[in-house]
Amino acid sequence: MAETLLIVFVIFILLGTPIGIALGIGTLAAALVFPVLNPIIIPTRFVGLLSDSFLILAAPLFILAGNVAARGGVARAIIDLATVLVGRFRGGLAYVNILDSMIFGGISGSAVADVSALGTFLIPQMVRKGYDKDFATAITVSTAVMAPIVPPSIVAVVYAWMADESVAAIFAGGYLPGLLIGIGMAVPTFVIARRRNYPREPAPTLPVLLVALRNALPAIMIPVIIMGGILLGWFTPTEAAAVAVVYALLVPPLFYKEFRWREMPGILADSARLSGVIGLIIGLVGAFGWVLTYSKFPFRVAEFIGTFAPTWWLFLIFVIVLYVGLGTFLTPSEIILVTVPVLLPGAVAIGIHPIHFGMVCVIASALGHVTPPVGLCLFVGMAISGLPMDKLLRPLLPFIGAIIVVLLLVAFVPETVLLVPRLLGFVK
Amino acid sequence: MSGSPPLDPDRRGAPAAPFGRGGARLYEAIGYLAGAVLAAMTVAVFVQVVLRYIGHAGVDGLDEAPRYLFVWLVMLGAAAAMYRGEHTALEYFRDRWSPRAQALIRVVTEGAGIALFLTLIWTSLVLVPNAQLQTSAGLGLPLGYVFAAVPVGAVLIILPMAWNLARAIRALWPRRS
Repeated sequence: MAETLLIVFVIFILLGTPIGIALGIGTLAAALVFPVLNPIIIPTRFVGLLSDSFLILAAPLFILAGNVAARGGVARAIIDLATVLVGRFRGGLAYVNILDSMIFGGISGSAVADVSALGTFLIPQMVRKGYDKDFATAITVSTAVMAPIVPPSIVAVVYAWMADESVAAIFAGGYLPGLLIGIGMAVPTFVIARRRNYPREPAPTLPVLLVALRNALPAIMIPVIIMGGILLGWFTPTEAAAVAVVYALLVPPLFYKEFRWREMPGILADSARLSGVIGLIIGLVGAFGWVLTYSKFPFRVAEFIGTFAPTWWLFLIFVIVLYVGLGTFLTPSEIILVTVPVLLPGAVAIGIHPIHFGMVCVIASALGHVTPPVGLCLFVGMAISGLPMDKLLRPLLPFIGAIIVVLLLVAFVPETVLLVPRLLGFVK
Repeated sequence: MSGSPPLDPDRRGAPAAPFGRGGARLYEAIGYLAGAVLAAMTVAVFVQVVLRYIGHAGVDGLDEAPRYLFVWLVMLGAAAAMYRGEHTALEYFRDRWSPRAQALIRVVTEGAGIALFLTLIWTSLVLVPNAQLQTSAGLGLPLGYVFAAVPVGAVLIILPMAWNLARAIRALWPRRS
């Protein structure tokens, strides 16, 4: 039964059907072949999955929080802060680009929001200061992969929900990999900036530094409230997301005066449509999960893994190759929703920690955001810079290489993920 | 945002604006309505936090409201996204085919998609009246109101798909001039 579903699913994906709908069509086809699968399971599980869990509500609320923050002047304040912190080095704005993505990733949790919020300021600014446009676009696009890795992250919420793991643990597990990716990206930046003699920003005086810090404080408080609240147990992740929305609506606009209330219906509608796209898949995964459980497919996959990839690291290599491949045409949330129910039991059976596995999945699928043919961040970067895709491929390579190196490090050294959650007491 | 760019009138036989200006207005309104649902969810979750911190035990059913609203958010948001062609899909391979083959592929994929959502509507005819007999634990809300989001949303999702299907069928048999 699961095989029928998956074959039809893959055929329709290749024919250009949206993933959630392809999943539903696969389920329908399985119901036609196997009468034990009553199609009424599809709407029953659809409503059940969407309405049973308070946790999954964090996904639409984090989407909204990111979209509100992106338009409220937060992006500019963070860029100013990053400029005084790392702008003085050669190729300073490139380091600014890396650092602000790390900070902004702590606010938005969505790579696409990161590129559109930061890229619209930074790409023109870098070009004006003499950076090559293709380099400026490539680094903006590739640093955005940190958004789903640095907590909070919509993809991590989706994983935790699917895997029945603690969101706080997987969020905490994202800090060190996020930092490593930032360092990894700084390496090619250092080389390229020296070779092309990119400019430095003036070194800040103490008063300038203090002013930038003070101005950025209302923005920096967003990740502090979200993660502080979750890690200290004040809020559930869903509550933290709602608090972040209200905070981003009320506090930063007082300081930055960039937010216009008449934009709010548009921001809500944008966030609602994206929630609809992800939610439709979440709902249709319901009947898919039923078929998987009924046909014991994940256990057969686990058995197959046991013979085909008997060691955990071989298995992770297989997962990375699979995810990077899927990531070239699916978004990270979609990949996680479809593959985690199939692969996680096998991963756990050969001794991979579910939090470690989740972070490897998040990074590997996030890489697809920047790779053609349908890297969403790549499209946004192309739209902002006006450069065609083929002009961006070469400049992207060193950054994609850096992400892959960190991904392998994270895959083979589980402590890179598990150390922080362990120190915080979320993982034994 | 997420998904493929809005449908291009010159490619794949799909129009930019199904049902003309009226359709565009209708689906924009659906998008705003979904946005209002999202706003209501946010308020419900936020109020819950505030009540807890001022020592209130919480209002009955306040945790239910955002969960049930989420079902409506997804169906309305998915319909608005369907109209704009924002559901992520792999168009790379389909675009390699000849225009006629692309039209044929569209007939198959849109047709199967419509069959899926018709199934959702058809099964909901049994499910919604049944769910109406059950009430939720906190709010005492008949659950039919929650399940009704599926057929309502499915109709709204089918409309742009049917438009695309009709265009694709027409593209299969080009009119002789």
